Amino acid sequence: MRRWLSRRKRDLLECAPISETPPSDRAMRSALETARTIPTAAATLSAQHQFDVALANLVQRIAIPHEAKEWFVNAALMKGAKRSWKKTARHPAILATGLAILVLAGIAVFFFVERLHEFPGSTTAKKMLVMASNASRSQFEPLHTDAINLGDYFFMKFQLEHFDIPMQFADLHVRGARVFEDEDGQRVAHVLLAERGVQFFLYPAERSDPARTPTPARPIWRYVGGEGWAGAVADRDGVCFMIAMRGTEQELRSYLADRQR
Amino acid sequence: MQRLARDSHGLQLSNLEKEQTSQFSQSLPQLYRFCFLMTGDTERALKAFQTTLREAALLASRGQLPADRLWSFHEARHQCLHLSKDGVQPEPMKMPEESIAPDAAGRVAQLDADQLAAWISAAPEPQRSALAFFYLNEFSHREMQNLLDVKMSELASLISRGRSQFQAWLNTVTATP
Repeated sequence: MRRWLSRRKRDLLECAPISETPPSDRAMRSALETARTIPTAAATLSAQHQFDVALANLVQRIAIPHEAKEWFVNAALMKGAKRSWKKTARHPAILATGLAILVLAGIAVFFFVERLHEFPGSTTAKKMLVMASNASRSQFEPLHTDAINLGDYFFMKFQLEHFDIPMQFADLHVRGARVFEDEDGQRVAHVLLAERGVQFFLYPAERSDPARTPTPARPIWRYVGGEGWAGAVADRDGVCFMIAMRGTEQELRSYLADRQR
Repeated sequence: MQRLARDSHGLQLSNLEKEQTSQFSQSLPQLYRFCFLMTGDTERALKAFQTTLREAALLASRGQLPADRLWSFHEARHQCLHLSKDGVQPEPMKMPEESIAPDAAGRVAQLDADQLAAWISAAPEPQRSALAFFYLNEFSHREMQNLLDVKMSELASLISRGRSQFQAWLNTVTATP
């Protein structure tokens, strides 16, 4: 008979309220309404209700002894304490949730700050720093020239266009240079300077549409760090120029500021 | 203006307190009936009832009495179970079951409350508590689930089986009306 109803509704009907007042619970109201539309279910529900009402009335006839009634007067003085927000906040579940939210927020902030330092080509720049820290003089083809001539050198020898050194470093003396392919098969120019602890890298910029990004008049330096080295990368004509220097980002910044002057 | 707002706030608080107090004291007859259904005995019902109220008074004096109306019933159930722990325990056996008869209400009218309490108190846990809570006609199914810590299907099964078993017992102890 009640097979017409879903299991959930059948369960709800077994606990159907005894009083005639419509139940506040929507699921219960829905179950009762559905049952009333099915004649067999309605008949069973009616019989069940009469049975329950009879028993509930019997329960209400339980006599309250005098000893119990005495408590009714005193109990009127007792009042439940509403949980204060301080007490609620100290609840272990709330504390655990708060802590979890804090940790998640911390992780989110960490990643956000990390992303702030990211820029197209930053991954390659970090790899270059590792190379700079491990580079030895024997890896380079010996050169004795000023940095200003490197653009022609790379173009003439390796057909690398726009691999020019910014003018502010034009007077630096070069001791060696090499060109190698990175993991992505892109050619990277690596320059060893006479000045100790300073190296140059030139590599193609990661850009989907280089034509749309105009080259700024003055280079915009983006900084990376790692392996005890700091790097500053500027993008020009689709080629990234990176100066790598042993030391901190702050030291590199002041070096670049001096060079600018 | 500020004084008026403060007075109004004070009035609201006092109304809330009164409401909580009256809610607690109004549920006391039902609380006793619950204890009686659970124990089937006036003496033990009184003991469970009084212990619950003593606990409530203690918590109220510390300002820790929960405003939740279910608290007293939860505590009373605990007291009743504790009291009946050493008493006669129902034997695990298959009780006969019969579907609700059309004359069931007439048969129930032949019973007195003590017989009903004796039958419910002899039921195994948690069926005993489920039937006691249900026939108090005081709680919604969600509150009963909360009090008994059971799923909806379990609660339904406890009440449904209780009904059928009570009908079978009713048929043996009462005459056709």
